[in-house]
Amino acid sequence: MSRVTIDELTKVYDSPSGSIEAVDDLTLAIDDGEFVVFVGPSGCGKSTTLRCIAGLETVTDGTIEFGSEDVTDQKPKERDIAMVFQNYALYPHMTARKNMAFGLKMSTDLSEDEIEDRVEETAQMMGIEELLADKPKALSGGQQQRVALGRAIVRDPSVFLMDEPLSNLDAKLRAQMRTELQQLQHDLDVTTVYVTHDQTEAMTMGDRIVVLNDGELQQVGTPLECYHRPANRFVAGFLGSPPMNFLPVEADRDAGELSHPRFSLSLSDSVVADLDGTELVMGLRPEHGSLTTTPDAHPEPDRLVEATVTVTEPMGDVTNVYLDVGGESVTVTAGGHLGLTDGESVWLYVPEAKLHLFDAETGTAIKHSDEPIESTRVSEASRHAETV
Amino acid sequence: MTRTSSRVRSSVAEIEIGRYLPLYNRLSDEQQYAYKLLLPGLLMMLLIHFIPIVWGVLISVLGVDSGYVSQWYEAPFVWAENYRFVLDPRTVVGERFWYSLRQTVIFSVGTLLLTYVLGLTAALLLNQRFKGRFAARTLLLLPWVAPSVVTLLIWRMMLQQQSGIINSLLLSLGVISEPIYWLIGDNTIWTLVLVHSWTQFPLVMIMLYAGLQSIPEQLYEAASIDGAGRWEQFRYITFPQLKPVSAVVVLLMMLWTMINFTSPYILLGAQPPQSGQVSILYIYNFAFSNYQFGRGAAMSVVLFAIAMAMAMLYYKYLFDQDFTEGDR
Repeated sequence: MSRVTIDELTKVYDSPSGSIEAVDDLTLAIDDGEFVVFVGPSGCGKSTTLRCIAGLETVTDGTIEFGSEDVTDQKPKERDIAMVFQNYALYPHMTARKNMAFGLKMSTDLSEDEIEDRVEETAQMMGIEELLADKPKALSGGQQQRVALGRAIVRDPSVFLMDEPLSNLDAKLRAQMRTELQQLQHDLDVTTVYVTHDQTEAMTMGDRIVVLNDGELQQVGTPLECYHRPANRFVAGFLGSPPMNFLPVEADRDAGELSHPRFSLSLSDSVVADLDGTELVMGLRPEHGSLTTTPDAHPEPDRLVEATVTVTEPMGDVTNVYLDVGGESVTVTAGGHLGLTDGESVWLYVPEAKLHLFDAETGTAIKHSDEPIESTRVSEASRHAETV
Repeated sequence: MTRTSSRVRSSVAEIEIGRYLPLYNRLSDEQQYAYKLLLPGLLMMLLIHFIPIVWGVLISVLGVDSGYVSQWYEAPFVWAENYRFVLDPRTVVGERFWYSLRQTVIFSVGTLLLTYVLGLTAALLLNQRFKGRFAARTLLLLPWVAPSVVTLLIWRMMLQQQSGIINSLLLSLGVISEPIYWLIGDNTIWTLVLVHSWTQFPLVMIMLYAGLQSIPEQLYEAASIDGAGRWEQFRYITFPQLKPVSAVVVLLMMLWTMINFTSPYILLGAQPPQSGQVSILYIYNFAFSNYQFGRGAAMSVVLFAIAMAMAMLYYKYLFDQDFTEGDR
């Protein structure tokens, strides 16, 4: 177990068409035993960073430390790490047992019996004792996944590295493995770096999320921090499904309002005081907007925006309503029993407290929603549940 | 596309094989169609492989000698007499034939080992990233693609005891103190192995190289994280992953070398030293210089049977389910 410190990491690939900066000046400290998720779109540098930590890629600039040891130039085998690959990379000619034993055989002085014991023990923990005699090709995708995880766990490494380990599983199994992996990491208490492009995995699994884009760090924080206090427009748009709605607006500081060709919304003085530019982007999470068909009866009629329903997506628990606001699309998550027909006129209520504002040019966040980001209530709730 | 293929299908279906072969009607439509598509290939095999084999077996039980060269079909039927004669170690012919079989084993096993080692080394080198890899690959293929008669004649000149460049090179380097007889005496079989391996290793190389390229890079990454060094990666990843292609290479090299005529004949000529008399060369010289076609055919059949038996044993024991199912 160890703390991982990444300092000004830069990785440049040379290609015939010029050099590509895959990771740009990334600085990050991962605490001992922490579960950190690197998330971002394809090509954002998350996998490259992971491979640098693993030692599979040479570092162009910067350092990587495990504990107080500089491992930047060490070979993978000197780093005491274990990695789970997207397509598992199980050794096809070895049985599951040999796959799991291989790392111990290569990197420790344990006797065959000791290795055997540890493999059995880990297999039991993973529930794969029955599969030990099989070769990978005889196993299903989910079983291969478990063997691959077992192969990493049996090593008892100081750092776990996982490169999209769940993306080859079907949706149901993925959801199940997600919880299981979390539980496992919690029990083993090993520093874990997990790479995914799936924002659901990022939100649900990590102690902290590291959002990357174009090789640059966008934000590091707890899932709720990143969700409710996004540092910029990219993070705001990347996390959440359906994603946050963005509408370009102009701020009128004198009048104290945001104006859009189709509507204007008044702002409270404290918010106006924080504005410096006039070109802004307004952000609203789909679950924070609400709809009404009777604007006159609404308590805050001046915060209503007229819209037309384009499509409704009933999901059972909720209904995603796609609206047209002056040619731009806005999504609102409404109740599951909502009865709206396509083309119907509705009014969207935009609560000021839940509004996000970003600088139109730089994308930097200016105002966040007031959603709490501490999970105290949740833990109290679970404590309560335990006592009951 | 579908229209064309269905037209092809229906015209193929019109061939009425069932009229001539009643068993054929018992096959399913799918199988009948498949056999029709195989027909041209099967006819070709019949013509150039099957008929000569049957003919050879036929002659091997007839007393065809110089008296019956033009009317072989009039030669008396002698049962297994030819076989008894050529396999009897007490006769000169039998003794030499057994000796030639031994030399054949040395020739094929020696060639197999040498080509495999050379081919694997070359394939591993080619699999590295370096400048001029393409040129190196082309260069390494040359011995195999160049016409073998030409390269073998050049080797023959280079290996001359007095005037050959090999001896003069080795002498001037001080590796040897006296010129070596490469093409005469007991060394001959080893010279044969060496030269034949040189002409054949590029084939092994290119097959193993293809095998190497199909090994997923991630296996090496996983292994390096698991703590395997370069040698262990070769030992535990590369070599086992090459097993299917190696199995094919071993079988082909063994069989092809056993029945190779060009290399010994061109390199050693019509009067080869006894050490260089591999079976195929001995059979040829014996049969055609003495007009002993019946006995020569018997020896050929023995060689053929050995090759067949080896191939079958090999299939049985080495191409186990692991191989046929594919290791990856």
